[in-house]
Amino acid sequence: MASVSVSHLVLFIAALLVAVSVTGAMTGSVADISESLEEQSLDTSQRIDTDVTVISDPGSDAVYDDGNGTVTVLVKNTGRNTLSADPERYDVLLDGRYVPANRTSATVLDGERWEPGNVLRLEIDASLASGEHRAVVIVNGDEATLRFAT
Amino acid sequence: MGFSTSAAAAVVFLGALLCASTLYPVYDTSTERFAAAEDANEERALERQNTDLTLVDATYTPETNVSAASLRVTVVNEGTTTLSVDGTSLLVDGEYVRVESTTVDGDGARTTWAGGERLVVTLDTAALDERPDRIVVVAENGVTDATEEV
Repeated sequence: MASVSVSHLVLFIAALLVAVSVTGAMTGSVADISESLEEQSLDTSQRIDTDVTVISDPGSDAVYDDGNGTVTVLVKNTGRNTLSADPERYDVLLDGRYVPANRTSATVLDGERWEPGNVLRLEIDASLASGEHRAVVIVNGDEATLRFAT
Repeated sequence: MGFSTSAAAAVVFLGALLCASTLYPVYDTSTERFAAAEDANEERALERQNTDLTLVDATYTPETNVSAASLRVTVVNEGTTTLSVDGTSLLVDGEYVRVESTTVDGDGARTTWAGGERLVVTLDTAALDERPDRIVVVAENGVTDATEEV
């Protein structure tokens, strides 16, 4: 009967519409997930390729200048990536306390960029009491530590 | 199963196939990228393990005219890793000092420094006004050696 065919048609169209909506939502989510996966894998591989080493001589007088209240840390890029020398791009802890970027200055000593093999001189404004101290530099998740005494 | 159900199932199945075709290449690329980064990291660790430097001589030649003084450092690569001359850094009394010239087994044009070879570095002594107490040499992978016999 015609009314039965029309109702079947309506139900068919409704079923198709629901299936298409579900599929559309699913493919949209998967596209977002794949984009995030791509960015995460890039980020992870960069973190693995990043390696920094503190090369400061902790027994020397060059680490802490008590006249100016400055801690100088020499950090060598021992990884595969060229790193940013901007203090905003890495974290510095002094005796466990976070040092804001405006209290640090950085200079690449042997090149224009902090390329693999190059050394970064990091100067931290800090007045320290006599005793043992620890400076930690964290770049792309890689930590380098300097223990020194003043 | 009615025809509308079959059609809806077919649409959802096609959507699932589309999702899989979007996700799989991203997953494959991510895995490959991660594996490459891990391999490079392991290789760097092995190179570091196979690196051994010995600072055999540090000669400071004072002159009455301080700017004419010279500091020459001789380092032997006693490991099996070939090192980069440009990536080698020297600290004099904890301060980074620029390299004026280098020779590897007498050749000033060499940029690599293989196992068993001798690197002689002449340093810029403009900042030195007296005999230094301690010299530290750092390879590009962070391996160091030091001497206090200058």
